[in-house]
Amino acid sequence: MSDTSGNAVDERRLAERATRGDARAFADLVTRYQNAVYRLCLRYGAEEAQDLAQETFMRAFVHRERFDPTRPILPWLLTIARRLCIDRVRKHKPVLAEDDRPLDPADEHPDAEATLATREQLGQLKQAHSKLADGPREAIALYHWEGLSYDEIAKIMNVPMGTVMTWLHRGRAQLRKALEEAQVPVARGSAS
Amino acid sequence: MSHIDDQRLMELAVASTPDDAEAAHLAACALCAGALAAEQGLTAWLATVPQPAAPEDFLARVTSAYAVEMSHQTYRAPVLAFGGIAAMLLPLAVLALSAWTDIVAGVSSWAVAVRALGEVVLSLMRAVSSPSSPGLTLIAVQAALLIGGLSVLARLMWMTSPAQEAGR
Repeated sequence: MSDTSGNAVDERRLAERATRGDARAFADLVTRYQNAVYRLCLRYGAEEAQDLAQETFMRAFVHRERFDPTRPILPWLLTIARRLCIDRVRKHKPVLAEDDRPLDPADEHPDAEATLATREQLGQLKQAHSKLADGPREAIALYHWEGLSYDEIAKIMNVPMGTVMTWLHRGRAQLRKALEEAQVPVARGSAS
Repeated sequence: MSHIDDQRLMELAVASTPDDAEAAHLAACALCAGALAAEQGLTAWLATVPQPAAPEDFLARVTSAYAVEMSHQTYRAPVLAFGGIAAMLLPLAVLALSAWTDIVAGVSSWAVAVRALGEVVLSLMRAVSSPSSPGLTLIAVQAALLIGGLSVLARLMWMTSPAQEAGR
């Protein structure tokens, strides 16, 4: 889902060059995946997200021999990031367990401007998402926002694919309920 | 056809297209059509949730850390190689030193001490070197390397001490 053949070849070349010490290739990889890695870290603890995301890329570089070049990089990076985040959460309680920062217009995708959704309604959805249990919350984020497949999510979260599907279903049901309680018209929420 | 289950409705809302039977059912069943519309609506809502981006200086931070890591790796390789060779040569150095002190310094107390030390280390290694005790062998080798290294250092310090220089 996150992988097309041309992109995969390009990605592999970049990874090979980066592991040989090509700083420009490494920077290209970081540019390509920094947002997804940063967002995952943000969901686990906002205060340290930047440090954790940076550590993710450095660990990936130091342990580059463990990377399977036949597979896409993003799921591997997110697996490292998630482990780092879980370790950090075990050691210290997250400073901000929920991502309840106010919505910043600068954060928004250009496409989002076209939507009829109000900022308040989106804020409610975001807050409802942050209150989900870890599994459903992460499954929804990785599937809907990072564009990963069931299989890729299962590998990142180290669970069977069926569990990912259950989490997605359960999480979506809870989100739908939260939106309905907030009187957000779910069935008419077409943004496109 | 019975109602479409929730899991399938979610898949239809996200990526799949209904087969003929499902399409016919959705056209006839208001319950399933409403549930699918709700799922599609949620998918659309989720697509509009703004996603934060990494801070602007993030790339600079990571590439800077990468440069530091690269320089460490460049530095580490020759240091490790040198360290490995030095560690391998240390036991030989102890033996050579023992023999050399015998020849050059005669039977001075220092030469006797160094030679005795070397023999103790070798005896210890022989005593514990058996297939059933690889851990002890490792400890013995490490002890030999440590003692050998210290002997060499002590000898070097003694040779360069002011008293020794004055005596020459």
